[in-house]
Amino acid sequence: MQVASRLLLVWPIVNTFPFLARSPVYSSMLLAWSVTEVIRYGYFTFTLSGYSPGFLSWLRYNTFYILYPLGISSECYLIYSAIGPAKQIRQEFAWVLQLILFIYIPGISYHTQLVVKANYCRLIHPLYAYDGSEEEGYERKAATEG
Amino acid sequence: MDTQERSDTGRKPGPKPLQSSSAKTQYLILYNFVSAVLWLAVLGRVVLLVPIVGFARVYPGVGRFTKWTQTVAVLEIAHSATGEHLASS
Repeated sequence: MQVASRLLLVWPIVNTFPFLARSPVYSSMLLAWSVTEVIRYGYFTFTLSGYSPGFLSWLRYNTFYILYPLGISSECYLIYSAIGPAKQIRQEFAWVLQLILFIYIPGISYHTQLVVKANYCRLIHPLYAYDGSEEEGYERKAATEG
Repeated sequence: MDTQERSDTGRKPGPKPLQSSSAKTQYLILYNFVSAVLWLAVLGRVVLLVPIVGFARVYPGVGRFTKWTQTVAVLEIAHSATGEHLASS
């Protein structure tokens, strides 16, 4: 879902209408995307390597509340801005963009709920409440599950 | 348990570093590392371009690079299809 919406922004919208990218909104979108991705991929790189990146983990869950609204509002603005130019190419193109903008609404709600729930679980679950206990919790879980 | 104390950077060896990792894990580590570096390059370029050339010329400076960096992420669809959810959330 997220990959698809980003590809939509990058190929059919910005690549087709490069003049839209002159807006500061394009820069704010890239800023939100890149910071999010550096944290996310960095987190996975450490986790998969057997390290527990407490700092990146903290960033991953706490920067969401700034970066997600920034990214998503920038994306919506650029899609909205593309509707007019798209209409001049082909009416159906504009309709598809309007439909996608409409689909963003449940998408935002769903994604936000997922993250808020994940954060809430981290808060109430003592095993994940502070750094250093994550491996213990994992090992215990692995041991009980065989 | 003092050895379990971590520094502020949060980097310490886990219980089983690398020894049990499969080829797939090795590949995913590489994929995530390369992606992190690519996005760091996007971030660096945006942060430098905005004050130097202004918003209007960020796209000529970083647009093509961002386009292809984001396109690499289609691999994550394949990752999740093969049961690896770590790099697809």
